[in-house]
Amino acid sequence: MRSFLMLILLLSSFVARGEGEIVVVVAKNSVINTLDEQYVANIFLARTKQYPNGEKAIPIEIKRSDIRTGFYQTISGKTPTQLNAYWTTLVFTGKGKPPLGLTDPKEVEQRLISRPGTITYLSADDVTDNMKVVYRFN
Amino acid sequence: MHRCHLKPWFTIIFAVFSANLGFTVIAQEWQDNLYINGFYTLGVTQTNADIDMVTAAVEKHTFGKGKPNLNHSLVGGQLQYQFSENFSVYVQGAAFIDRNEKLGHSIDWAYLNYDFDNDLSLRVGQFQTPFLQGTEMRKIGLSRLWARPLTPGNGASGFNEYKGAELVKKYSSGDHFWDFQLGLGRAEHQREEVYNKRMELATVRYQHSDSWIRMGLVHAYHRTERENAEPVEGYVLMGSVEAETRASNFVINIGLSAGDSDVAPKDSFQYLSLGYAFEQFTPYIYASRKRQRFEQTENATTPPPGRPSPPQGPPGSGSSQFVDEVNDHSIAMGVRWSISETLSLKTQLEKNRYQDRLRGGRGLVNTGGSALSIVLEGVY
Repeated sequence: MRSFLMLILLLSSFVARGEGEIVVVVAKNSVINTLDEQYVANIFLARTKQYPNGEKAIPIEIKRSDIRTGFYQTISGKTPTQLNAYWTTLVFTGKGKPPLGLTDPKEVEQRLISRPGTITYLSADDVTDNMKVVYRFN
Repeated sequence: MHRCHLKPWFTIIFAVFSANLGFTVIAQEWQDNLYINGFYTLGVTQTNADIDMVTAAVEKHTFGKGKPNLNHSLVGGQLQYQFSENFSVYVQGAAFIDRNEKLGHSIDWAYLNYDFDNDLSLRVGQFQTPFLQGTEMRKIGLSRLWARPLTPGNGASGFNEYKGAELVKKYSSGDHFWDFQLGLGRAEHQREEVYNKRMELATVRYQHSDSWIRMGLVHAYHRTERENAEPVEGYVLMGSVEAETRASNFVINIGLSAGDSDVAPKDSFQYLSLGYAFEQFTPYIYASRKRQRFEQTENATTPPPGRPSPPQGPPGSGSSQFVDEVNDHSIAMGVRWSISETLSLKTQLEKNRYQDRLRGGRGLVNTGGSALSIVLEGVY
């Protein structure tokens, strides 16, 4: 019984911390304050290269992150195989490419700060003071 | 297209395995601005007769009866370098087994790209003609459901590649997406005696949810020069419609194209495919038909492959006369197994029938046969 209670407490603490919640962020000093889910999808699926205000959008992501599959499934409704077929068509006709993938989360943060227009997605727990959340997935 | 005399199958298989060992992700960024992608097809086909069939790289390739044919195999790659946020260069090519069983290679795309604001791009260089998806993506096997291309090798009446300029515009509104493409240039025709003077093209692709439709229009002026005949000039006007829809795991693909000309064969092409996605497996069936009708007008027509030029029509008559009609039918069933995001294995059994009907009932040639293919395709 004690173990069961411990498990409930542990799970509750994860929920309270927002573990697993995916957010979309830009640099804190960006003029972009909010985006809707469709616009987030359009940027990360290479359907547009700009924000609603016309500013250039530069999507980046952390390679092989745990949330990557869930993120793309949410914004595209595609399975990983279908998504790759989508990218294959875009890449080999020169009409788009997947977001730049970086291995180091610190490098992702550095890019957000140093390159205007950069946008990425990450777990809500990884948001820092240098970032501004422009969309939260419920 | 260039040729060398290496053992072609060995070279392609070696290249594929080398590539997979070295690069196992879809896009490897050596540096921030350099992108490298690749694709490959390893195919084995067994037939019960000598059949001429389309491969991923060659219009028609003879698949010899009773022996495993590796003719469908190829390997290719793409380099993209981003000079700045707006300016980039693309080069894409492939190595494959040509119709003479030699290793051939081609540069299929080579262009400079400039991105304007408002999702508008200007591209200048060499392109694959965006007439049908199969004419653009012919060598990228992973992009299609089937083991071999459905689109005939002469997809856009032979004008499958061109040098010139393209404007590409993307537009989205909510969950509705449009992709417009305008092109102007000079095409490279598959037949050596056909010279293209100018080609204009326009395509539009609309996507909503899991369905898309794409339409293309190509207009090409050309000049045909043959021995012992006056050069003739004329035009080809071609149109195409393709669509894909997914509903309740069903995948339906349909395509139609037609070409009209006063000096070249009238082409038409149709296909219909039905698949059912069952986790990683997608069984499918399809039927396709390609027809070329050769008519004699006051201008000489392009002869069917392997045929002498038909006689010149009476000048000024303006009337057309049936010369020859070639029908190519194919029905197939198969399964695609998506082993991973970047790798698939396909097996396909198809029956092909080639019918050649000559003028005045002078002859009817029927050939064909069945083919069983196993194809491994991927990108890296």
